[in-house]
Amino acid sequence: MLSLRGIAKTYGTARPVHALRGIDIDISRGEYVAIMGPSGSGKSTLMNIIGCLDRPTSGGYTLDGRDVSRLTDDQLAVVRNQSIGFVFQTFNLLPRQTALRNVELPLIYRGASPANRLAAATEVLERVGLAQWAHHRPNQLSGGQQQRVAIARALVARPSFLLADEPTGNLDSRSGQGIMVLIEELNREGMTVLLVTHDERIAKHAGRAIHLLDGCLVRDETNQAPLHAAAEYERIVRESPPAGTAEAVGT
Amino acid sequence: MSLLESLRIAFAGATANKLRAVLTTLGVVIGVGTVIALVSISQGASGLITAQIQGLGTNMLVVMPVNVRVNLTLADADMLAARVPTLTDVVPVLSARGTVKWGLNSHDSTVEGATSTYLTVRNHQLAQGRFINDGDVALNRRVAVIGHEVQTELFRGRNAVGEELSVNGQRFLVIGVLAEKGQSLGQNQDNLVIVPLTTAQRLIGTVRLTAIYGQLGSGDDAPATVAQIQQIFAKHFGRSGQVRVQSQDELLSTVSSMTRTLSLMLGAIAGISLVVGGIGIMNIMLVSVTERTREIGLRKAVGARRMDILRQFLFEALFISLIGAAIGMVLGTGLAAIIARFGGWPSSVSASSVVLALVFAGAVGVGFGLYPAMRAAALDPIQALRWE
Repeated sequence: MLSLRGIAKTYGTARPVHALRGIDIDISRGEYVAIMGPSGSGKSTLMNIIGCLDRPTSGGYTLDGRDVSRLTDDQLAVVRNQSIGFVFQTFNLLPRQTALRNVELPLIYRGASPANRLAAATEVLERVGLAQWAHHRPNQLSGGQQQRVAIARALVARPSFLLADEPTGNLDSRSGQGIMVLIEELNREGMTVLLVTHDERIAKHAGRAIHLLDGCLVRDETNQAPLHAAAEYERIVRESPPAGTAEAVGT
Repeated sequence: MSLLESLRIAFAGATANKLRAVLTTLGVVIGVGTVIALVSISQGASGLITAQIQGLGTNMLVVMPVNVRVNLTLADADMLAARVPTLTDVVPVLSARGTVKWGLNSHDSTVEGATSTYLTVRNHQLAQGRFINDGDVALNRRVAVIGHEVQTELFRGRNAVGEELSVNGQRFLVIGVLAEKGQSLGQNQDNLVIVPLTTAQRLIGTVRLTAIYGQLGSGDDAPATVAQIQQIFAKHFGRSGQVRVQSQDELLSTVSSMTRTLSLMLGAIAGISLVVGGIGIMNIMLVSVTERTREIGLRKAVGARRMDILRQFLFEALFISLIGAAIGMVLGTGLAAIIARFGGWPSSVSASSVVLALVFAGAVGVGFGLYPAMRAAALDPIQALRWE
């Protein structure tokens, strides 16, 4: 489904910085992959290229059978809209819009009719367990709920894969684990998930871990016994009883 | 993304910070308001002046001596009548200040000695009685036709025709009253006592005419006739430049070129305030783009193309300027109405000035919104998403 061949990215010309030096990765449909590496390893650059926010200096990137490594900015925007569901560390919801409007956003840029948008957005909001919060604004929601809205937004356009960048980085361990449970469920339902993180514990949930260091792929290993997020969540809930409102767990 | 959706997003963006949006529109409000008000005022005023010039008489022409050493006489008037075929009527006029009395009432007025055609050439109407006729002039009768103001000041509503009044101490019989005409170019057209020319010559003690009025058959003859009269008098006095000949058309074109200059100047002032308003919009839009960098990054990440972002911010600027234009139009119309009341002309806001102001405000919105919108559209989504 997704294939990187000899991807390299170099910044600057006078004193070039090689952020990526020839990366080869193949990811098949339904995989759950963690992309790991310390800061400066080229992790973010790779994520931007996979997310079609950036183009490689050299190398080929095939997404759903189409070479996307040499597209224009506007063509990349269409690819992002149709094939990629972004989940950010900082949620990036529009503060003045309701959860529903936030979720609809990708469909607006696709030109979907208001009726179709509403139906699709309501469906995914239900899927992440926030149907009753549809008309609330982000500042009326907890961090975990905001990230769920963001995940609903990523899912609404039925992308080829979810690209989550430190999705639990801004959450307490309990809400963070709730998000991990949701991601795991989505993966089990068939969604391809790419998880970019520097956190070993988070990465352990994935079935496969790709390690980057200094712009090179140093390890690509299959995790035979990935952490079961739901069980982990139970453990956290047991150890730290809820302080306020309990996080809703999507089912 | 559909146009409607762009408009909706732009509307939400513009109204997100209402106080700021309103303050931003102020420049355009003032600009459009002044365009509407000033155009209306200059149109009203020039309409009033034009009407006043036409009120002096239609297709009229005036010959006046350039200084006191030049003597125009009745013979000169007769000469013009005989030698200028385009003049259908010639009226010699001798005028002076005079004191008019009736009983104990007294009023300072202008005494004009004239002939029978004065009435039509100067575009007066009779309210009562009759005007001076050729017989009155030939026999230098002591009869007078009085203006509306003289009638009200001296007779206080009583019938004046048939009464005797005194002008500079000499007795005159009132034979007619003129209809009210009002001010014209600063001249009071109602404070008049018209007597036969010959009588006036004796009363005032001079045969030197103040002016000769000529009536043209058609306004098209004016330039040729003016030239011909100048030529006749140049020969008559032995040198040119002794009389000033002015046709009404000339006066009208002088006034209209003056008002045109005035409206151009006022328009330029209004235009400058619109440009200042536009700079205000640009300023706020640049701030807005910077503030919403992350939003732009996110929109791009989920699939917004350059054009989508460009349109969003361009429409927002356009929306702000058009709101300003609408408010400005209401204020400008109100201002024009108030000033028209004081100026005494009908208040009118022409469709063309409304369209002009709208188009200009729209152009300002697009023109000054374009740069911020282009900056927003050109943002790199990776940088924009990282923006703090």
